[in-house]
Amino acid sequence: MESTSLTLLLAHDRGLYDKVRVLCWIMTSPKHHKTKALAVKETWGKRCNILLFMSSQSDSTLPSVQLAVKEGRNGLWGKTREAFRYVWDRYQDQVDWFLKADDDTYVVLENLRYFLSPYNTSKPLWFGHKYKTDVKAGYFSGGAGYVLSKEATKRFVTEGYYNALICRHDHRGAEDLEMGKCMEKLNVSAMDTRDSNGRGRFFPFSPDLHYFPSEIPQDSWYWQNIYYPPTKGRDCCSDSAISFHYVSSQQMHILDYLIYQLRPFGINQVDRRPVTPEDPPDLDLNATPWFAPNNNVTSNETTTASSSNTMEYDDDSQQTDETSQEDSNTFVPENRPLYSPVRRAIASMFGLRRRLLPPANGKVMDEK
Amino acid sequence: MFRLPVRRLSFLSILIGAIFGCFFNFFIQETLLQLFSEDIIPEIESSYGNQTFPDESSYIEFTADNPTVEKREEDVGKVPVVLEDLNGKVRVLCWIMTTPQNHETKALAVKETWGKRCNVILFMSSEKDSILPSVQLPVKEGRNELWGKTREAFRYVWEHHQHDVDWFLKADDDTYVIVENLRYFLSAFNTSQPLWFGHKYKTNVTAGFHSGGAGYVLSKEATKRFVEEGYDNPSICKHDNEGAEDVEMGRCMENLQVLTMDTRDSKGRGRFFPFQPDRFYFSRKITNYWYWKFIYYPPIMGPDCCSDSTISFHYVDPKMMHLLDFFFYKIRPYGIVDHRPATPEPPPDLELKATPWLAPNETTHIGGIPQNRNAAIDFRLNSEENVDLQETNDHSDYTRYPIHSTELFDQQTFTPMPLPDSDLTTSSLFAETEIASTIENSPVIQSTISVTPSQPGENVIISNAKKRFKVPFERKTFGRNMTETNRAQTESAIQITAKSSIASAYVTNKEKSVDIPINNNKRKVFRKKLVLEKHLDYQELKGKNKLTDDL
Repeated sequence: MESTSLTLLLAHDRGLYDKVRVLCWIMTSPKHHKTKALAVKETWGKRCNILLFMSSQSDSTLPSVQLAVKEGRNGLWGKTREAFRYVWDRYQDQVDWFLKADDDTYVVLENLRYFLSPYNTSKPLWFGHKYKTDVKAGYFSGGAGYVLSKEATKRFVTEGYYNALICRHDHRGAEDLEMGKCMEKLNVSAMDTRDSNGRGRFFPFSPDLHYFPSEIPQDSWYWQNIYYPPTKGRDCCSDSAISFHYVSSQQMHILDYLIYQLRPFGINQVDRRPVTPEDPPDLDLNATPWFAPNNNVTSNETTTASSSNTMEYDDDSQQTDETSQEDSNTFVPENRPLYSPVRRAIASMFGLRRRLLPPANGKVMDEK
Repeated sequence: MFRLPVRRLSFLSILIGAIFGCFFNFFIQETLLQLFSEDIIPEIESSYGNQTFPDESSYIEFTADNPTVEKREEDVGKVPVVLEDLNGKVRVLCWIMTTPQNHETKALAVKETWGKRCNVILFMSSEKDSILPSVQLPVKEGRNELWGKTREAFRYVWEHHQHDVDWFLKADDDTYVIVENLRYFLSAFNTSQPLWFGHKYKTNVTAGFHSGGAGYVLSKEATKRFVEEGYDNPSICKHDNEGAEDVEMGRCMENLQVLTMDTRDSKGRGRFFPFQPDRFYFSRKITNYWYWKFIYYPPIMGPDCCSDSTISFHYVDPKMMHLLDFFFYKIRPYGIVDHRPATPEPPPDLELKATPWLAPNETTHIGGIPQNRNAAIDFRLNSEENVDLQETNDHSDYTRYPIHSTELFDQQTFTPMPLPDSDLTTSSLFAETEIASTIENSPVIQSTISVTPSQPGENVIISNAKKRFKVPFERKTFGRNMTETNRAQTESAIQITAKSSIASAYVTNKEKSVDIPINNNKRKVFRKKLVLEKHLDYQELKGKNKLTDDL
C-alpha cells in the first residue's frame, strides 16, 4: 500500500543521478547502429551515467564497442559474457549498477534509479521481469532489460566467466536463460521488481500489449513463463514503470516526447511517491510461481461467444451477480489445443504473428 | 471409331474446369487461412467494441496470493493544490460530437479517459443514451448534418450550462484533449471577451477558422453571441444544416466579430493539433496535402513541433486514448520538475496582426493533387521498422477534393514530394539521417523557433525549397459518392474559385514573395526512385479513398 505522505520534490534528479549510478550497455548489431541504436542514444540513453553499445563492430558515432563475437541469435550469450566482462574491467569503480538492454528497449532511467535506491549494490542481486521456466529461482527477460548489482557482476566475471560448470562457455544459448542459470549457480538472488501493489516495472512487450493484453494469445508462451501473476488494464504497470521492449526507434522518440516533454500542467508538481519505494510483495523470495488457472474454472465471460478467446473485461451490464465478481475478473485462458508442428509450420508460412508463436528455446528475441 | 464432338466439348470443359479450379483453390486457401489462423492465433478483438473498461473498482488482480489489492485512486481525486485552483477558476464544458454507432466505442473511450476531467462533459448525438449520457439533438446523422449538430449543441449547452462554466470546448469523439493544459492556457484570457481558440486555418475565412477535429474553445461571450444573435439570423450564421462545421463556425464567428485567436506558445509551437502526435514529430507522415495549404501560422516539424502544454490531438482511436492517458497521467519519471510559469506566456500573434503563412511555391501552380499518396511517405521511413502507416486520409474531412484531372499525376506539374520539413532545427541525428538519406532535393523549411512576440508577422525562412505543392481547391461540396455529372459541375466551379482565391492570396503576399530556386535537375532521378519504390494502381487508390465516413 502506497504511502500517501507528500514528499519534498527533489530540486533535480541530480541527487539520485550521483547516488545511484547506472551503466547501460545496449546489445546491438552493426546493421542497427544508425537506426535503433541511434534512437536509443538520442532518447533515453543519454540519461545513463555511462552508455555503451555492444556490437561486433566498433563505430565512433555511437560509440560502440567491438566485441569478439559473431552476429546472430546464436551469438547473443557470447555477447553478453563479453560485454559484462568488458564493462567490469573498465567501469567497476565508476558505477554501481549494470543494466543490460536491447536496442529496442525503452527504459525510464529515473524510475530505475528510484527503484534501485534502497538496495545495496554490494549484495548479489539482480532485477528484471521474472520468468519461471527452466530456472528454479527464476530468470529475467533479456528484452525487458535486467540490472546486476556490483557483487553480481563481480561474481559473474571473476568466477562464472572462467568456469564452464557455472556459466556456459560457448557463445550459444538463449542469453537471458543462460544468465539465469549462471546467476542461480553463483547464488545471486533474482529479485522481485513489482511495486507494493503487485504491478510490474519491467515489461517484455510494448506498453499497449500490457495495457490490452488480449492481444497476447491465451496460449502464448508468455502466460506459461511468467513467474508472478499478471496485471492488466490500467493497473498493469506501476507509476514507476521502468522498461518496455519491442519499441521501434520512432516509437522511442514518441515515448520520450510523451513521457518527458508533454505533461499535463500541474501533475508533476506534487509527487506522492515516498522517497524510498516500498517493498515489493515478494521481497524475501518466498512466493511460489504463478500458474495460469486450469480450464476447469468457469466464469461469466467465457460464455460470451465471440470474444471467448480474449481476456475480457467485465461489462457493466453483465455484472449482475455480486458473488462472482471476483471470479469474473480472473484470467481464464481457454483450453486451447496444443500446437502441432504442422499447424505451426503453416502459420509460419503465412507469417502469422511470428513473434507470438512459441519459440524453440523458451524465449523470443529478434535477430541482433 | 466413334466420332464424338470431342474438340469443342473438351476445350469448353477444360476451360470451365480451370475456372472452377481457380475459384476452388482460392476458396480453399482462404478457408485454410481462416481455419489455421483462428486455431493458432485466436481471433483477437481489434475493435474496441467488446472491450469495455468499467470502473476502477473492478480492476482486481487475479491471483490467489494477493486476494485484495487496494484500489488505487485516480489522480483527479487527489489533485495538487494548483490544479484544484485551476479547476475552480477555469471551468470548461466539453461537448463531444458523436453518433449512435460510436456510443459504445469512441464516446465511451472519451468518457473514460479525458472526458471526466472536464467540469461538465456532454455527448451530442442524435439519440439519447443513458450510459454516457448523451443528449439527443434534433438533427440527423451524417457528414452533411455536422453543422446542424454544432448549432444545436451550442444552443443546448448555452441554455443549460451557461452559469456553470466559463468556456465551451467542442471536440470529436476521436479527439484527445489534455484538459489541464487547456485550463492552463485559458487562464490567461478573459471569458467575457469574444474569443475563440483552436488550430487556425486560413482558407475560406479571411480571419481564419479553427479546425473542428482538433477541437475549439469558445468564450462565454462568443457562445452568447452565437446563440443569441447568430443562431436565428441566417445572414450571420447559415441556417441549413449542410456545410463543413468548422468553416461555417469560422464564418459565423467572423460575422459576429469574435476573434480567432492564436494558440501557439511563446516559441511558436502549436497547442491544438489535427493529427496524432507522431505525425508532427515525424513530419513525413502527414500525407494530407491540403494541410500545408490550410494552416495559418508557419508549421514546426520535428521534435520541436509541439508545445509542452499541448492541448489536443485528433484521429486518436479508443485504444490510443487509453495509452495516451497511461503515458501522461500514469507513468511518471521520478523527480521531474515542472518549470512552467503559473500563467503561460502570450502567443506570438496575440494581436492578430500576422499575415497567413504560405507554403513555398504555393501560388505558382494549379493542378491536380496526385493520388499516389503512399509514394510520399514510404521510402522516407525506415523500412526496417515495423511502422504502422495508418492513413489519416481515410478519416479526414478534407481529402475528398474533387480532383482536377483523372490522370494519376498532373501532366504539367508533377510534384512528388509536397511535404515541407523543418529538420534542420532538430538535434536528432536520427531524424536527419532518416530524412537526408533518401531525399536530397526535398524542400526544407526551417522552423520558426526564433519567432518572438515582437515579430508577429515574420514568415518562415525558406531554404532549398523546391517546387512542390499544388494549390488546393476551395471545398464546394462534401457529398459522398460523387457522380460523374456532379463531378464535372463541381470541377468547373472549383477552378473558378480556385483561381480567384489564389489571386487574392497572391496579392496579399506580393511584397513578401521570396525568390525560391527551383532545381529541376534532381527531380527526374527522384521520379525514378518514386516509381521503383511504390507502385499503386490508380483505381486501387480510388477505391481506397473512401468517400464515406463513419462519423
